[in-house]
Amino acid sequence: MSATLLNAVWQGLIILVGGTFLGMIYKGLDRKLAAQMQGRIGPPLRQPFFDVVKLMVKENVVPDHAVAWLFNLMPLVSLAAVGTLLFYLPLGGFEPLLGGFGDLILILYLLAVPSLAMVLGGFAAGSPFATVGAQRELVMMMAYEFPLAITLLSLGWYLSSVMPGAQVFSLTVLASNPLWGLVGPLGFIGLLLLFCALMIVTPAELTKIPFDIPEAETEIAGGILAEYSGRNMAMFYLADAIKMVVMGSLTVALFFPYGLSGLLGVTGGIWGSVIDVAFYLVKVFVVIFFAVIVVRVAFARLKIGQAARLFWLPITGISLLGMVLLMLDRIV
Amino acid sequence: MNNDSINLKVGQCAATTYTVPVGPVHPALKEPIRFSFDLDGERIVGVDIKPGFAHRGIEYMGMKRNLIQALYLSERICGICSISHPLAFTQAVENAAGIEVPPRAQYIRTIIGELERVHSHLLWAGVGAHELGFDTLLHLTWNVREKSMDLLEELTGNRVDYAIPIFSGVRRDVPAEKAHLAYEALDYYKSLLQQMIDAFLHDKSVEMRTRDVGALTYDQAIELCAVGPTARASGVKKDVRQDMPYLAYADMDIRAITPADFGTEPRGDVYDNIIVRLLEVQQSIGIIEYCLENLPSGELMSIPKVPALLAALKKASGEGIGRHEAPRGEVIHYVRLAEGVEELAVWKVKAPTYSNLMAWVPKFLGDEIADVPIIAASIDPCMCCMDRVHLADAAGNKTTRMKEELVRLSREKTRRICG
Amino acid sequence: MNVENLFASFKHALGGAYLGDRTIERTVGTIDPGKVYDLWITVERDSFHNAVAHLCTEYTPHLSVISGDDLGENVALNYHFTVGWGERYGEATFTIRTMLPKSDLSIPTITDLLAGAQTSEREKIEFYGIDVVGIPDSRNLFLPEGATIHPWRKDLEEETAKEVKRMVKWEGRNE
Repeated sequence: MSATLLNAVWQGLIILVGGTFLGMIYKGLDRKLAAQMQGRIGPPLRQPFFDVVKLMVKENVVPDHAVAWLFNLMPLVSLAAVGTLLFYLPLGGFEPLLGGFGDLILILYLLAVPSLAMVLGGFAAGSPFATVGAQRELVMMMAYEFPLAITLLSLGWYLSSVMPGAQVFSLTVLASNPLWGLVGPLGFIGLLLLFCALMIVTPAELTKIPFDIPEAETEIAGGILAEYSGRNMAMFYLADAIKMVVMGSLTVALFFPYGLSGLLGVTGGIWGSVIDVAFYLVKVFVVIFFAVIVVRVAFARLKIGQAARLFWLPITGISLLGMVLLMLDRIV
Repeated sequence: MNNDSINLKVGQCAATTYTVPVGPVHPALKEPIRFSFDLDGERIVGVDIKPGFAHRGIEYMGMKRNLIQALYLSERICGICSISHPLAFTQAVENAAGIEVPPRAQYIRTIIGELERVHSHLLWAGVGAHELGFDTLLHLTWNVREKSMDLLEELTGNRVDYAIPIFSGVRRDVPAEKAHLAYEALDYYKSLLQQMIDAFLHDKSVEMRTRDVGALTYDQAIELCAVGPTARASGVKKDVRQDMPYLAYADMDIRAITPADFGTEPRGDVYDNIIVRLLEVQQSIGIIEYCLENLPSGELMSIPKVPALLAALKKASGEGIGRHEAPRGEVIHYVRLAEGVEELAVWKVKAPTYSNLMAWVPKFLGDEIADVPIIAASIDPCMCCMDRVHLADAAGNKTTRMKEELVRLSREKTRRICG
Repeated sequence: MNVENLFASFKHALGGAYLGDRTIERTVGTIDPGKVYDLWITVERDSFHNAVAHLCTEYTPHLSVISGDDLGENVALNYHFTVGWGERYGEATFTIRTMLPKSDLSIPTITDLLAGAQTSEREKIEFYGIDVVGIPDSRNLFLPEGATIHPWRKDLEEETAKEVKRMVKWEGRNE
């Protein structure tokens, strides 16, 4: 028993450190590639590491108006929540560490925690910019959570109707039974629509342009983050990096759980794992590339009203249509 | 930042309005100015504008120096309009003293003035894109802008503060062997202009953020004495180059550009501001080309020796008004010269932002806090042009104490960090 | 732009308060020279508001700026308007000048006629210590709140210099 526990602790540590490292690398890639697309040179790939180290040694300022304990607690909550998320995701094609203790619904809730933590931290900061930012973040959450929930639930529902009795909301089950192979033509279109919805929700979930409205540097000077500095800021920074891996992995697990090892005939063994992990990294990168990097280079920031309308009408519409098509696929 | 502006009315979030300060230091502002917005949710219901953070006392200083020194000072009113102020100033003094300017000098002044318009409008377009959160467009635009800066450096020796106009002429020639560089740059811009128009005016996300945002009606523009692209975007056909020609502009048929030239009804919003500025880049290219092709030969200064010039100016007396259509609008300088004195008796500088200050109010009201950066940018504000005078404060004044306290704290911290 | 008509209409509207006019004609252009005009009229302070009102009814003026000139006993204010904008060679500068004695530095506001004059009027309040009667907002625009010096007044030169020196010394001090 104690050996299993020790093992789990080790694995947990590896996942945390690995996930953070990956997130930072992806963040570096994001900045470098975006810079290249904008005709700039861009920072070195290691820049996010430098940033975190610098933030860590900087003074941690708590504004006079702030509710100090809440203000200081929220970065920790945010980081803890995204850290926990890592344990529920099949990273690199491996079983999630806590796969047996939670499912997609839990992930949905955990995904909301960092955003809520930022909202609370923003309100606790007691600055008008942070307040405006926190209000905007709340509106954004109300806007994108609905299509996100529809997308995740539709997938689970479909699987439950195909495989009655299975743990359909468990990511392991979802990942090992890719829906693309199970659906008919109608369902295929439905899945495509759901995938599009998830891809559009991703930048909103990650607060990236065109949905970086709660932070909007030129409007509200960083919004929620306006008053954060030093260690607190570093924690939000790390949380943001990890969230990028989480969103990428979630999309990959739901829609592209395929491995290469089987195809290449190297199942099992160390080489099989290496190939699968490498392929997984590429998949996550591709998702981040199209959902975050390209989008943030190609668009201007939307206004909060425009973003909310976008999510409530077209994107919710797309995800609902996807759901209906999946349902029809079962009936026909 | 002033302490009472930070003072958030935290408990009042539930109340109908709350105040959000923007500036004097804020990422959306490239220069210091303070707006206090009364917000109802995200909607702006009141605005108070406080400029004056970049006062340097230039007119005051100018009245203590001889005219040539004042000319250099006028160039340093603003880095971006660093030819506009000297152009207006030299004209004012020349009008007051009755000095003629040789044709070649007039053309060279025009060329540099129009090159400044090209780089200034491109700078504005980039800043505007950045305010919208569209950094890609910012980087591309500023990349394109470099070409005009390079050309200016090639022609004048400097990227800013060109030191070209002097009373009675210009200080440097545009030699024939450098003309091909100018033509190259013009061809470059001609080939890119359509791309720029596509990137800004046919982009859905830019249109979403700028259409009907920060609108200024035709009547408001006239009533509030708006100038430059800000007024022209509202359909007011006001352009000094057209209305009251001067320099080489008198030899060309220049028309004020309004959104009607793009085929749309003027609404005075930010989108129309983009239209006007991009089309003016095109217009400027045409003007520069005309000037280069028809550059008259002849001398550069009617009084080439500086001591003789100073003596002539010392003898002169009278009043003069000099106007120039700067990239941001009308610059006007009023001078009075008194006989036997080297200094200016009176010098009044009016920069475009000074006139457009009032236009901000109707532009802001009714729009959202998210629109603040782009509306603030839409008049292409130039605080250092507008705030020319910094003087001291009365002793014991609250603001002063704030400032002294801030300086003290900042020095303390520097010392602490340095150990 | 018919200069004679313009002056005549003002003379008629203002009567004895019309103290004089001046036209400066300039030739511009090197190929096909044209003429541009700087027009000046001087009016009594009491009729100044009427003069601007007349200008606003007859034309659509643009106020460029208000300049001031400390002449010792008096402060002269030059309201630099432009009229006739909108077409080529259509515009002329039109300056209305009026004198304020130092003993009574006050002038009615013209913001009721042309709201855009406010910026320039506020500037005159702080820099010359002029009382602009009826201006909706008379706070300092460029100088800090509470500053009481009037830098462009030649008779207050000493106070201004003292403040400038204090400031320069303060900015450059080395603790």
